Amino acid sequence: MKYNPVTPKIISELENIVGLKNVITRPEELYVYSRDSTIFEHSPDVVVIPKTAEQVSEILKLANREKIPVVPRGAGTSASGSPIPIMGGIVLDMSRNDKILEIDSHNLTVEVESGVVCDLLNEELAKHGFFFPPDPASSPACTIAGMVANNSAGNMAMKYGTTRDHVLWLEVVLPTGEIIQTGSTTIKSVSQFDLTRLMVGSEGQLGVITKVGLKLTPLPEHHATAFFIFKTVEDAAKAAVRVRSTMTTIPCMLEFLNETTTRAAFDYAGLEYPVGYTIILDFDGAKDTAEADLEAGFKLCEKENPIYKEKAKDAAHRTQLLTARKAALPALARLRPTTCMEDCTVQITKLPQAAKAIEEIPARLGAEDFMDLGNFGHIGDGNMHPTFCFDERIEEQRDVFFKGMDILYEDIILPLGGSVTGEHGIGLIRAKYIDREHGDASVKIMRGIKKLFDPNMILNPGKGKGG
Amino acid sequence: MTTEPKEESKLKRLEPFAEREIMRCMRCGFCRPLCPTWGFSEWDTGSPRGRMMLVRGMLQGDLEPSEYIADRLYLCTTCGYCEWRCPAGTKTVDIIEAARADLADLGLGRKSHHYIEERIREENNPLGEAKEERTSWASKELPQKGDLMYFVGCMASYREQGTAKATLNLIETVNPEGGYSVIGDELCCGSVLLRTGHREVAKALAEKNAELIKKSGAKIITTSCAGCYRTIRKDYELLGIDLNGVEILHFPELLNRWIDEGKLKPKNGEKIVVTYHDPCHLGRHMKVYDEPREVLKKLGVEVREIPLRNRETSACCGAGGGVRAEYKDSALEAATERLKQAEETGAKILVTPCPFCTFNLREAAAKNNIDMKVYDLVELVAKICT
Repeated sequence: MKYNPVTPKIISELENIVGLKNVITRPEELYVYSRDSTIFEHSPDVVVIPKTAEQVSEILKLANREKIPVVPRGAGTSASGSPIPIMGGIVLDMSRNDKILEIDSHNLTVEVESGVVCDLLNEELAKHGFFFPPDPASSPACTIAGMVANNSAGNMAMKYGTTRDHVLWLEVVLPTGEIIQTGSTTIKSVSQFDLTRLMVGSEGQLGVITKVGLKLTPLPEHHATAFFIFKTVEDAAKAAVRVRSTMTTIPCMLEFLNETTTRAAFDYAGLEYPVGYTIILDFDGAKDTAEADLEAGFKLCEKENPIYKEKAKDAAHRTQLLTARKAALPALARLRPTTCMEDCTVQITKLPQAAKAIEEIPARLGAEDFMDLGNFGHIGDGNMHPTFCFDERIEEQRDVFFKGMDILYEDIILPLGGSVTGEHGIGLIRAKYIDREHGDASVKIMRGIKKLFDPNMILNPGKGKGG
Repeated sequence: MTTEPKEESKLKRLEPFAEREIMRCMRCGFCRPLCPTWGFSEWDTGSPRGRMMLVRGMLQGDLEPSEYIADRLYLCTTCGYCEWRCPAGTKTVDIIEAARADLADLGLGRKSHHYIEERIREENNPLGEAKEERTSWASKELPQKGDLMYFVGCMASYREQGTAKATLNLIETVNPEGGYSVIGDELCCGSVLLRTGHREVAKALAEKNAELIKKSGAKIITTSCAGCYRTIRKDYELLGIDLNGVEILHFPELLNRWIDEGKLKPKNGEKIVVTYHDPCHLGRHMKVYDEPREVLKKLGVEVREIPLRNRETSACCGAGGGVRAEYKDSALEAATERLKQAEETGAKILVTPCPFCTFNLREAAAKNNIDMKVYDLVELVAKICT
C-alpha cells in the first residue's frame, strides 16, 4: 500500500479542524510519539489532539481522501508496537479526553471518554461502591479506550473476564468518517451483529474509539490473599494447576512471578522473602467465604512443597504484594537496559511444561551472559509474559532476542496448542505468527473485515490482525 | 541508533546517565497520570516519561539540545513523584537536574533563573531583597552563637515572615535561657540554583553557609523550610561540604522531640481540624512524613488526610524546581488542583511545614476564591503552644 506524505496543506487542514494548539510537528514531540514500551520506533509526521468524535471524523475523512496513515494512541503503554506509526502519517493522541461522563449507579453503568486512566476510573467508582474489574499491570497509566482496543485483561480475568465482558457500547469513528454507536445501553441486546465485540481487541484497525459505555461491578466485601515461593518453576505451575482443577471456587487472582522477576519486583516493593518462583493467590467475596476459600487453596498449594508460604497479614501487606506483581515488567528494567515483554497463553494443564521450556530459552540461545528472562503473569488462566532483558543497543543482542521470540512462539507455545497473544494484541511484533495459529482461511476473513471497514487501509496500517 | 556520546559532548553532566540510568525508563507511563505538570500539558513531553525520552534523545544524538527541550525540562517541579513511582528505579530528579545544568551551560537556561542567580550574587537571596533586611522580621537583636542554629531561609526571611516569627517564638519558649543562634549573614541555601542547573554558585553559597554554621558553634541546625532542609542535609554532602557532624533537623522534627520531652505543651483546648500537605522536598525527597503529623496530633489537632493523595502520593504544590519563578501560571494551576484535593477532606485549614508551599497555595486559594486557610505548620503550633 502506498501512502501520501503529510504536506503543509494537510497540516493546515488539521489545524482548521482541531485548532492550532492541538497540532504539533516539532521533532522533539514526534520523537516522543515514535515509541511505545517495545524496542521499535518510527516517527509520525504530525500529532493531533482531537477533542470530539466530530473532529476525529473530519480528520479521518481528510486522511481517507488523501490516503494518509492514521494511528490512534491512548497512553502509549502498549507492549506490542501497536501505537507506533510505522508508515508515518498522523498520530491521534486520544489520552487528553479523560472525563468520566456519567456514573449511573441505578442502571449499573458508566460512560467515559476514551482517555480515562483505568486506575483513576476505579478510584472514582470505589466512592460509589463499584469497580471495573479488568486490571492490567499497566492500569496506573493505560486508558480505557486503549484497553478496549487491546481487550486488556490482567489479574482478575479468570474470575471477572476481560475488557470485552464489561463493554456495553462504544462510540466509534470509522476510517471513512462515519460515527457509529455499537451495542446498546441496555444490559441485553441482540439486535445487531456484535460490532462491539468486533471492535474490542481490534487494535485501532477498524475504528477510533471516542466513548465507552461500561458495566459496573459491585466491589467485593473482602479479599483474602496468600503467597507461596517454590524452588522450581514446575512446582509453582503444578500448584496453580492443582488450585484451578480442584477447587469449585474461581480465585480472583492466581498470579505467577519467576525467580528473576520475583527478585526485581520484591526489591521494588520492599518485600524481603526467600527468592524463588512465586504464586499469589487471592479470593474475594463475603469475608467468611473468601477466607475459607483461601484456606482450601492454601492447603492445595502446600502440597507442592513451597519453600515459603504466608497469608497476607493485612490490607497493606496485600497491597505490597500486588504492587510487586503489577510492577513486574518495569521492575525488570532494573536488571538490563531493555525489557521486551511477550504474551502467550496455553491451557492450564500445559502450564508446567510451557513454563519450564520458557525458563530454558536463554540457555537454548547461549545467551545467559547477556540476557535475563523474566516471566510472570496470570497463571490461573494460562497467560504468561516471558520478558527478555538485554541491551537493545547491541545488534547481536537484538538478533538473539528475535530468535528467542521464534523459539517461544514457534517451538513452545504453538506446538502446545496455545495462542501467541492473550491480552496484548498482535501489534507489530506478533503478526508473523498468526498464519500458523489461525490458518490461511481465518486470516483471509480477518483481512476482508479490515478491508470492509477501511477500504484505503489508512488506520494503523502494517500491523495487527488485518494489516 | 547509537549510544556513543558524541565527541566533545555538550552534555557533560548527563553523560554519566547515558550508559545505564536513562535506559531504565522503559516508558511504562506509571509516572504520567499523577505528575503535576501532566495535568495541564498538551503533549507527552509534559510528563516524566516524555522528559526522559527527550533526555535519551539528546544523549543518543537523535535530538539536539533546543529551546523547546529546555522549556519542557524546566517545567518539571522536581517533586519526585515519578522517581518514587518508577518500578525501574529511574533517578528522574537527578537526570532532570543534570540536564538543566547542561542546558544552562549551553545558554538554554531560563531567564528568570538567571535573574535569581544575579540577585543571589548581589543580595544573597533569590528575591532581590536587601541583604541587610534579612532579619527585619525579628523585633530584637538575635544571638549569633549557640548549640542550636535556626537557619531561616529566604522565603521565611522575606515573604513568609510569620513562619520565621513563629519558629523563633517556639525556640524561645523552649529555650528561655538562650543557647540558640539566628545568623544575620545567612545566605540562600542554594536550593533553587541546584534545582535549576546553576551548580557552581550553589556550591559557593554552601561553602559560605558552612563557615557560618561552624562559627556559630551549632550542634544542631534546624530550619522551617523544606527546601533548605533537603539542601543542607542532602545536597551539601553531595557537594562535598563538611558540616562536622552537626545534626540537621527539620523544625517539626525538633518540635516532635520537644513535645515528647514535655518541653512544649498546648495552652488551650480549642478543637482544630486541619488537612496536611506534604512538601515534596520534605516527604518524597527526605522521607519525613510522620513527625509533622505527630506534632499536630500530640497537640490535639485533628488531621484529615487528603484521600489517596497523601504521603508518597501527595501532589506537588507546583512551586518548586524553579517553576514558580518561570511559569507562575503553571505553579498556581498545580496549587489550585492541590487545594481542590484538600477540599475533599472537609477541613477549612491546610497546614504544611514549608513557607514556599504556604506562599504558593495561599496565593492560589485567594486567586480562585477557595475557602481554605493556608498556614505554615509552625504558625499553627505557635498559636496553640505560646
